[in-house]
Amino acid sequence: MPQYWREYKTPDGTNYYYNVNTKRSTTDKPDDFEEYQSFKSKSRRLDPGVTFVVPLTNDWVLSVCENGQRFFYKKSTGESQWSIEDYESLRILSLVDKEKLVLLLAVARGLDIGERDVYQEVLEDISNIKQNNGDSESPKVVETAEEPLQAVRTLIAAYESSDEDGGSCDEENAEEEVHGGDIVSNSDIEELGAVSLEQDRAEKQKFISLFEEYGLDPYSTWNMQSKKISDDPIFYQVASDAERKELFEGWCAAKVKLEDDAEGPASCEIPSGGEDLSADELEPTRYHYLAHIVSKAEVTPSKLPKDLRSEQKQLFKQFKIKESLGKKQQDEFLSKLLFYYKNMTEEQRSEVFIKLLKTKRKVISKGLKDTEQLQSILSQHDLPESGFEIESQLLRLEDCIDIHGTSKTLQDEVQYYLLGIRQKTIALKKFLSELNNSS
Amino acid sequence: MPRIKTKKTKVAPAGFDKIKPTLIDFDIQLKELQDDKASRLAANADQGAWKVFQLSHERSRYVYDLYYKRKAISKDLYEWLLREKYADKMLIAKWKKKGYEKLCCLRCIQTSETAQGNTCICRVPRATLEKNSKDGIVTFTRCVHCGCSGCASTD
Repeated sequence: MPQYWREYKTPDGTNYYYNVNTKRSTTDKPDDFEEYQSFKSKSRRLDPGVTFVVPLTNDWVLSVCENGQRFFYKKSTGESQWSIEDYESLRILSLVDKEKLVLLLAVARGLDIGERDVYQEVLEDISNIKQNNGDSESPKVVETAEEPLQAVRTLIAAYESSDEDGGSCDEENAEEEVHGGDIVSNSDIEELGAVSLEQDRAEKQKFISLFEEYGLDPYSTWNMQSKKISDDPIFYQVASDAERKELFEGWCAAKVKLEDDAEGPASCEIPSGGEDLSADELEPTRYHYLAHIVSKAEVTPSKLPKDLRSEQKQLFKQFKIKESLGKKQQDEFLSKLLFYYKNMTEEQRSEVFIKLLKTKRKVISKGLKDTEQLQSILSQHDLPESGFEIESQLLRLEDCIDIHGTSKTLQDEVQYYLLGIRQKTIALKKFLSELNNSS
Repeated sequence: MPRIKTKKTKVAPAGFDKIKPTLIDFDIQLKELQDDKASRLAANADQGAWKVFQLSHERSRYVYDLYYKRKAISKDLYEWLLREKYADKMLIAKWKKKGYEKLCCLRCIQTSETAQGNTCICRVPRATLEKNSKDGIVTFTRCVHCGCSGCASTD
């Protein structure tokens, strides 16, 4: 619906009207000016020109703008709407091949499809449908009436969202876009049909593949990197720059993570001295190393967490305690643990430890997994010789009771860390074999 | 601006090589701004500083994103970058607060520096500006402090 008349004020205050198209100006109000006024009052955007007009029934027409937007217009009353309530027109729309409609929208937006005239095809289809309707109500029409209606609606909604940035002639949309384009897209995305969602995803996928293709730096900013790819036509498949930036950030995070994973094992092997991989995969419990440090340290009644930290600086550094635990958490745990170490002998502590395991018996037996490995470990009565092997055996045992999954709560109990690694392995083994025998 | 490198400066932690090109790029952009001539209009006298503000905001955001969003740098490196003033740590501290996620610069929330004792106009959400204006048209384009065109979290 091109609107050519503009209203201006002369210096002496009277209005005059100017036609952009014919370059004619007049002081009289033109006949077709009123409509434009109502259209323009809220949104200051220019209305895109209509490329295609598809006649439906009951005087309704579907108009497709050059930016892919579409609205319905009733010739007799002159009203235009974004969605149509007229049932018969909707039914005609639903019977038209959806692919052709999408293609029509795409052509309106500037897609070049060669010789094929989609507009003519759609028109023919519609006239065919109209004839069929006039002849008789075919059963097929009645059957399929409900479903496709929905499809058409979602299709239309989808197109509105994907064209968020293009000049929209929707008054409400235009208003919302000014102070929050996200709102529009969010509400529309919820309505997306499966087909258009996939289409959208494919476009984004293509866009992301651009990053790889041009070898963008995942450690750089979007402002700098976007210059490298902005010449590519695929760049404009994602309309808004905010969305592009978001995709880029996501890609960077994924890429960085990949690189870290690739480097991870190599850097991990240095402190542990290149042991076999299976031991590396085992994850120690939360306070495992901290408890280990305490068990190594000499605990006197006046010792504070602070002293411990300064004394055992080397070990703290070696186990990278700082990376996994905050200072506050460390202090909290250490002061609790020190209490036990100060007030109890090793035997008493091991009793408390066993008691804790017994109270958690239910959870532990529930989390039992990998029973074969557990059996094989339990069948070896002697402990291995080197400290490292004892530790990995303990970690395997802990893995068997699923300490990172089902029995996660056990990890946070201070009482679970009362013993050194050797004692703990012995006690845990004893407890588990008892548990095994009883069940 | 980053601190000047001296003998006392600690060696950058591992991972700095990866982000170095980008930081150098920022530096070059800042240097290019030096050649820009100031406007002859007194009203536009502040505008020369706007780009500097914008760039330093961008760089702070870059470091912030690297550590908190992309998780691409270690804590050591992040702290080193803050110490060497590659990023404004006061500004980053504000970004962690609710409602200040997009804050443009610290001066814009300094209530004691304005005549009315309020924050800068760029902190007001666009929707509120529109609602309060007579005809729904907002005349505000850029704030005088740093040339921000609106940094409310809802914008």
